[in-house]
Amino acid sequence: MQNSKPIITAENLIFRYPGSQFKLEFPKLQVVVGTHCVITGPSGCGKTTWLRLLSGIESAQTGEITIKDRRLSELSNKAIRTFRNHNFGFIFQDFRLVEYLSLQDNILLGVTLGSKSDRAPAISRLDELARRVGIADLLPRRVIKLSRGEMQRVAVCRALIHNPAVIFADEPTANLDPKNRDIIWDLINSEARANDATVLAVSHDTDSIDRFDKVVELDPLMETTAS
Amino acid sequence: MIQSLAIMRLAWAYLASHRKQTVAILIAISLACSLPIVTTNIVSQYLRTLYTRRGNPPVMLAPQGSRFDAVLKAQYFLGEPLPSLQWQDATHITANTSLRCVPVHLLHTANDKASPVIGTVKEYFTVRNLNLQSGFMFAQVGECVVGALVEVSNDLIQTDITNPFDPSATPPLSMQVVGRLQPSGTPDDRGVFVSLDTAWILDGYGHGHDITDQGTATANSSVLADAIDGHRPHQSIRTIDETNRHEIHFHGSRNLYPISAVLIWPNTLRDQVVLEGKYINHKSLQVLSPEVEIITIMRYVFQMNTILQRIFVLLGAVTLLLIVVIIFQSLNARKHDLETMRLLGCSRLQVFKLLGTELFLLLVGSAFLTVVVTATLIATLPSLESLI
Repeated sequence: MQNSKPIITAENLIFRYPGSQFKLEFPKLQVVVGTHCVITGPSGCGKTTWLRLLSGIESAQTGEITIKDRRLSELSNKAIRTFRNHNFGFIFQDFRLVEYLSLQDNILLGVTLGSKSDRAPAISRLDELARRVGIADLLPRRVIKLSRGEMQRVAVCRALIHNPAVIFADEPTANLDPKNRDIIWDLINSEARANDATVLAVSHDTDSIDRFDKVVELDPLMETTAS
Repeated sequence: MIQSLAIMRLAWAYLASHRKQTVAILIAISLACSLPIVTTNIVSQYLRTLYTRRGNPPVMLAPQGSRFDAVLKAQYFLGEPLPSLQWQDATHITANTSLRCVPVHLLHTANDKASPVIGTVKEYFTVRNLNLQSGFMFAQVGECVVGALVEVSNDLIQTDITNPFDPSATPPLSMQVVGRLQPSGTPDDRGVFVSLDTAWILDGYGHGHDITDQGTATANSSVLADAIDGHRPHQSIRTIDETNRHEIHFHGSRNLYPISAVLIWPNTLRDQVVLEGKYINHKSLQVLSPEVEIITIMRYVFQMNTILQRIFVLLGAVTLLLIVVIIFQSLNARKHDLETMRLLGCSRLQVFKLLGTELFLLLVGSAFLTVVVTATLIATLPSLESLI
């Protein structure tokens, strides 16, 4: 169930990497709670950078991002980190799983090393979540022994384990065949809806955009438009 | 608490998955720590052994030769047998009433060289303040009193072969153990004490045999080669007891029988100075002060120990440097994982806790290994007795 209250608002963003010609400009974006939004565009247009800006990993030179009524520019680095840890779930393009840890430890990594000790609810969710994504039997295994599809499921679990308000997914289906791509998108969307989470995904795959409530297309010339 | 345990789990997972690196660090730290501890312990143990009787007696009469060897042998029963002085040298000095003299004969061993056989007089036990724990003092040839740590079976103790090239010349003698001394914490605890007569039987100057056994002529290498009445029985007594003790007899001149040293307690300092002056230019004998010699030895040991400690400090510094390099390399190799933690919004403090816990586990493991290595090395390293 969506409500009309915006959870993410971005206005007049301008971002440049130091020493680079790359420039990302964006006039306005508003995403309401529970929306599944996808950012599309050709390779190199700044989709991932966009995601990093909205999630507070990078800071824009100008403009303002407000998430859950908090202006990111007003938060200290430590506060942004904590905010990210408590409110965001991440699915990275290369999954970013820690190889030497078990699946269980990977899924709980953000919670274990979070500033707030809230492992108990996460642990109680772990089995159910793992069962839903089909990796319940694999939890004690180490990441290094997993297939790519299994890794993706672990990454989805890690993004959802602490019941985040926003899920950032950066090309989570890259290099997957259509069948597995659909499985992963279905998984992300269904789990996000089950948790009433807002999804902000990046994908260059136009076949998948009909799964989303909102599509943001980044201009190949570094200009962006919102639809 | 639960979070701390979870962090410990993550730290353990990292160390376990990098076994070779972890084991290398554990070994490096534990060796860097245990080697100085072991060295210090062993050196202090050796020094304690040397310290036990450095000034008791104040002086001793010994044959000319190495002063260190003479002191180590006479005071601690360490090292190879020394050149001997003759019994007449001892009688000459023991006649002096201003000196308390105790001759010692230290040419034999028992229990497969584990126990020195000390031929001496009963006064030895008085001056060394040794008391019987059980039994009584030796009174006849073939009897012995053993130190607290000497192993005995069936109240008998067998001496070792003196001459391995001609074992039948002075075959091992089984001696009856008649008493055991209280522990003293000194080298006496591992000694087998016999009368001088028994010691000379072990030398081959005395023996017992059937009266009809005229034996053969003595070999040129025999201690009795120059004795007019010397001979080598076909079958000499190997265990002296009540039934055969009367058959024991000696050959040659008693005055020429050997002893190793005479321990001397002068009544006054003046008596000591007079004694030292008397032997200052003696051709074959010397009077020496065990304390002076021991202090010299201890000084050498201290110097060696100081040098070793400096080497260990350097080794420790190098080890520390290597460990720091390994840790930095490890952090470098984990950049991706640490970045992931940052992206997930993990608390900087908790990440430091994780790295600190890994270090803590390494240190705990190293401490445990240090204890094990130290205990093993101390337990297996040779004693001073076996080194000299």
